[in-house]
Amino acid sequence: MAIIVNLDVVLAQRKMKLKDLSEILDITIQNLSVLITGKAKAIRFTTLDALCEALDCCPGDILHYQTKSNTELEQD
Amino acid sequence: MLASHDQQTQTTYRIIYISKLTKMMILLCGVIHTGLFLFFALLNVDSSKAKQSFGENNINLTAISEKWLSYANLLEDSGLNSFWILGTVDFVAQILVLFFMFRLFGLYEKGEIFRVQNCRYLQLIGITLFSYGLAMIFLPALVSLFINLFFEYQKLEIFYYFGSVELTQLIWGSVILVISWVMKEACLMKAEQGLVI
Repeated sequence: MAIIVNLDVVLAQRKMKLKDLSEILDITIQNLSVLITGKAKAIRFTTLDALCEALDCCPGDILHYQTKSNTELEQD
Repeated sequence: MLASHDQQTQTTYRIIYISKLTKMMILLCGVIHTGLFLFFALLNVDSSKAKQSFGENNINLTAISEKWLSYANLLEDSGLNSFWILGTVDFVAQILVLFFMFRLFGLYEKGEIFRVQNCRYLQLIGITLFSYGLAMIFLPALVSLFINLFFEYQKLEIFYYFGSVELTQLIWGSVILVISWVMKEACLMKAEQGLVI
């Protein structure tokens, strides 16, 4: 998919652990892992809102759009 | 939201409770069918002529559905055992449907409603019912053809049974088959729902 979740990058920048984030957001680590690994099919606005608040960032910091050509170049 | 969740739990509880009852009834039905089949098989009698006496009362037992009785009589008049020809088909179809229903309601009883296995069982029930509907129409004709071609019995007439019973059977088969596909879609949606964070 062309939407990339950069949650792990933002977490590393904030020096925050996944466990701490899961406690703050009241979301299971399994669900956060689904989000990080890119297996998630959709993200609720409420979850995104909570993520942005907890990590003090914008939705654009967490989600990135990668064009198809860029994805192909990266794979090559 | 909370009321909806409560309602869902109540519905699930209802499904579990009714499934438990249904499973028992299916089991009872299976036991009766198997008992009747074994009774006819062990006595090796015609499908429509087993008369059992209980004191002064006589009970007529038949191993086949009513629709095939006239054809069974025709077979018996030709010296053939209608039980082994028609009764086995009836028995196998009904036992298969009962078996799949037993497994399906067993899963419902455990509260497993949107599972791939449930869709599979529903699909198998649909296929069996539809095939049984086709067998209802064409089996007597196929049996007559087969016997006329390969055996030296009295020539049998070729019958096709097509009426409301057969049509209803085909409709039930198709309806359950379509429901199984709808359930399959529901299972996919449920799986996708699990990936919404």
